[in-house]
Amino acid sequence: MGRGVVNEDLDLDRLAEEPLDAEDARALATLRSIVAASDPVPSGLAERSKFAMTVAALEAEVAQITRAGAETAGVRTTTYDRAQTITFSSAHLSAMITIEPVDGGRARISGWVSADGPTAVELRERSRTQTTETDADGRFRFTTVERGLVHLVLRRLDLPDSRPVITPAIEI
Amino acid sequence: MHTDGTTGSLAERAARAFSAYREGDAQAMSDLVDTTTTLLWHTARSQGLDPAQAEDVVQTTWLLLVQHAPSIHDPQAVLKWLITTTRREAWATARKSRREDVREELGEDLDTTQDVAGEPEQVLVRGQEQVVLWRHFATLSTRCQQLLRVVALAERPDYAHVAEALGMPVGSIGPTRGRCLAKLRVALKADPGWDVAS
Repeated sequence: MGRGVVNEDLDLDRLAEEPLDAEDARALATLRSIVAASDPVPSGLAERSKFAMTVAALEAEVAQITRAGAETAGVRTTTYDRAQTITFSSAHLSAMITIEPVDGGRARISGWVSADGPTAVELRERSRTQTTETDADGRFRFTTVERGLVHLVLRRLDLPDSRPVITPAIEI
Repeated sequence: MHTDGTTGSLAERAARAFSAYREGDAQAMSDLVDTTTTLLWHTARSQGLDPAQAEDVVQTTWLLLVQHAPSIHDPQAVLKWLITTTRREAWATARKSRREDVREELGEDLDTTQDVAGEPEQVLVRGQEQVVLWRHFATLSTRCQQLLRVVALAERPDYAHVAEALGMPVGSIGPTRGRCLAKLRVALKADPGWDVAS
């Protein structure tokens, strides 16, 4: 009686120490297809993680979207009927941007920052970062913006010790 | 996880991305998040967390990486660090929520329905191969199920790395089957339905 159990255990030990073969690969691949289909990774988890990391790395203050016109930020649309205007605010400044479609599926962003001094504006696209500064009236512009999720990072140039302000993701 | 065109195991790709990040390439971290979040999600879920908790744990793990990046000396160890951290955070979260559950239950009538957190609401099995596999998988110990769920998500070259990060011993020569996979193999071998399905 007990002998069978012992043999089974020895067999299991021997099997456990063997290298993986095609049969194991098949079992794991089958398990993977079940797990992946039954419990998919929430869409946007990677993007949300990256945003949280950027905020942490910059020690930035996250601006709130106070108003989004025409369409809601974060919702992808395939056509633009009109320009989209979004207003952000943080404890130290507020900003308004207008997104207008241009040819080739790209967009132009023009904006205005309400701050007492000049502000550096960084546009973080998926694979590149563009920078500019506000003019005397607090205006700025990016003429060619690729589609996708972008963030703006705003830094008061007259207050170099102030925390940068980052906007939530905006879908262009 | 199975993108072609990127060479090397996930551990190697993670090491390269992490090295580049430390040398000032911010985009590299974005690639690391894209390639590794799936594995971390399933690591968190396999520890018995519900989806909202698992999301928090994955985000926390990435934040901890930003904080601890300077103290991780060997980029080759970054995948293992991420899995280990996810597991530890998930464990802490699961323990905390169990305590809260007990408190809630003490105030109310004991609810006898057992909610197994971390299980997908509905396991989707299609075809005989998946049905047979899932039947035997479900008889394994919780520990083995946790391990194999995550190992299955990894590429084969990462097997040893992942198993080690999950606290399972790995042979000195290279990735071996391990007892969990050996048990599953014995069960599948004895099931005529497994061979027929191939």
